[in-house]
Amino acid sequence: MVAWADKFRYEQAAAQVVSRSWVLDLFQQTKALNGLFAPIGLLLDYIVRARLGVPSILPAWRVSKLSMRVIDALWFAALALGAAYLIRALLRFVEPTLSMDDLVEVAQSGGLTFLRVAVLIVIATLVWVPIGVAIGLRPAVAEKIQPIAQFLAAFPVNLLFPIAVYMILKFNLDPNIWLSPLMILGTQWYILFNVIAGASAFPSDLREAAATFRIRGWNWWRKVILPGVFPYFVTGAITASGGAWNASIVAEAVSWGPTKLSANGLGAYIALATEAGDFPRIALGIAMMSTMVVIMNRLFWRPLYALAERRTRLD
Amino acid sequence: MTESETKPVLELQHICKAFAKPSGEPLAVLSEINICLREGEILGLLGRSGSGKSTLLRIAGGLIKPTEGQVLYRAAPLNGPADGIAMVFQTFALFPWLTVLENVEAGLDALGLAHAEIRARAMQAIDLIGLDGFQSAYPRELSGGMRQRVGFARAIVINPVLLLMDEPFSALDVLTSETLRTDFLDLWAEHLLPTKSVLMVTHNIEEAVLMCDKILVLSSNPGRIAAEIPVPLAQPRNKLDDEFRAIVDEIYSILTARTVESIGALRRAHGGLAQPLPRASVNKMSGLLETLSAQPYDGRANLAEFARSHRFEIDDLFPTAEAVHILEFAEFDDGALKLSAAGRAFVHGGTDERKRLFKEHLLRFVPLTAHMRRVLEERESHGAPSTRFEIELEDHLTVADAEQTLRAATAWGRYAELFTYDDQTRMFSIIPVGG
Repeated sequence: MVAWADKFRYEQAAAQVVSRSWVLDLFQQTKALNGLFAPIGLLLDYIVRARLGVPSILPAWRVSKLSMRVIDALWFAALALGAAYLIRALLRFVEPTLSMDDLVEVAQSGGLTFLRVAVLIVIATLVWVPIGVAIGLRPAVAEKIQPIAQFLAAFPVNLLFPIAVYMILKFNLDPNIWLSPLMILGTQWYILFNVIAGASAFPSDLREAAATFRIRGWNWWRKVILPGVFPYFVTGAITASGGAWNASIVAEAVSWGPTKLSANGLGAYIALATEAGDFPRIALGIAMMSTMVVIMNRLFWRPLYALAERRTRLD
Repeated sequence: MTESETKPVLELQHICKAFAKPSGEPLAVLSEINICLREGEILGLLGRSGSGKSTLLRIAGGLIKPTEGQVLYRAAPLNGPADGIAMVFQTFALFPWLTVLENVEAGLDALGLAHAEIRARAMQAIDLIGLDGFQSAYPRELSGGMRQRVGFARAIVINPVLLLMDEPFSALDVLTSETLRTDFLDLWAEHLLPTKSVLMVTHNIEEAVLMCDKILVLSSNPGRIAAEIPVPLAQPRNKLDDEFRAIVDEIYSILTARTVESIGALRRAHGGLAQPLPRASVNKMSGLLETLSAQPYDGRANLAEFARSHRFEIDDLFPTAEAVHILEFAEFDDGALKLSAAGRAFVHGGTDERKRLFKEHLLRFVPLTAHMRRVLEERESHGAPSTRFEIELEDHLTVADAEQTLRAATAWGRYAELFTYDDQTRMFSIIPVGG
């Protein structure tokens, strides 16, 4: 794909290092492979070209401004009604067994897990952004690292949990702290991927300008490359933080044989409730987690993404 | 001042540069370049796209290491970007996330000055270059001309001894580039810039003659210095002056002579496959031939005048002229283009007659299209993937040139109905005669 994507390179100066791939050569030049994949290509063509058969009367169906507003109002009313109904159903479901104390507990757990996710994203950022930049600016290295990073991202991190349990028991560590890294193990790679992609796509004229004016050291990071990879980083960090929230369910409460370790947190709360078959608490925990993820996206990541978009666009 | 009195600011000695081909072999883009740039000089590097002039400028700026040879900056070897060398980019290369002021200040980064001094010098440069009032704007809010002014401000703020300019006006429209050029020359003439020498790359002949004290004409594949032309005219120069025109004419003659020479040489070498075909559409060629055959040219046009009256730049006119020369519908003749008998027949022919003539000339004078036709005829399937020819071309040309050449051959062959090409499958094919 890297070699193939070179076709789409949008630059005036020729790339100094040409990407090559025997797989691409194989697919482009082997008659048998061309023939073999032709039916798949045809099928894809057919699917892409298939008409959806939407009647063409739609554009003719004009709506006046007033009725448009009425339709909007009706739609919002329907949404509000639906939400109210769902909340009532949820409350009725949890009411017999849960009290205000449960809500406080779940909120506290949520706060703890939030803290963990935030700290872990910061640490992962500090580690992987410089590494990703260093890799992404060297096409030859990026080509070699990419398969390794992909393998790591696909690696089921649960397999490492027993080792963590063993280590925590052996050194008598605090699970509240030392179980946390497990949450980010699987998702940190999204930050690395995206930063590598961002650094590879960094315009070569800007690199040359930075080199000519000898912008180096911290200034280079601050004025040149960090803003350049920022939108890519935000994309990766959103994925990584969302993934970390989900991973907290398996990472905050782990077991190895008869040994069980759990930290205080929303993930452990949900995991323990699941183990106990306590549906009201599962529902409460998941509702809390969804709410927190949405709030974090709305109040933090979205504005950050909008800023990245606005600042790095030239046109 | 005579040459012996002034000190050289930059010397390029025996510079060669080769890039890696996909197969890993080196492909020379620059060969045996020797340049001496003296104080008070504006030196122009003039050449067509693909002559390696931008690469040469980057070697002069320490951004690219030459494969062979050495660069001396103020008599000391240059290893990497150095104090006192600034560059203005064709694409402006402004940081979109920094304001105008911050972009200009970024140029001063390496000097390690106090904050107050950085601010003062940046404001002074902004003032000098006519950007007052735009300090807090982001580059995206500016027009192309204003963006390039920021590029200039960022370059001159470091008080450069040597200013490198990579086609600084070519991304701008005619009027804007005229304004920026004049403004720059005014600053230069009034010695408001601390800059001692300028090395600029351009593909615009008039621009080169307007600005430079000396012009080096680069030939292509690999880039070599084909000619060194002094421009002894006083500034400000007038495009309509006879002397000015004479120099423009001379450059056109050199470029055409070079082109004729290289076409001849390349046609003979490697079965003609080493000959890059220019980016020229059949429509443009027809238009050029028609204009050439009509009044006032009546079959022969001075290229410099032709370019001036039709507002062509060399990157525009030359490929088309070169294409009709290769196809022998016209012929370069000492800075002029002369319609041939076949060219006249082409102009007067109808669609079918034109296609027939075009096909005949493609087979006779363009070894690549003749070769493609032969391969397609010999193959049992009468088809061949485009990679078959791409790979063959890449043995002799850069990847970009090979791509461009095949694209031109494809367009011309399709027009002449020499073969068909399916872009989806990337296959060439012919309908066999009598089949």
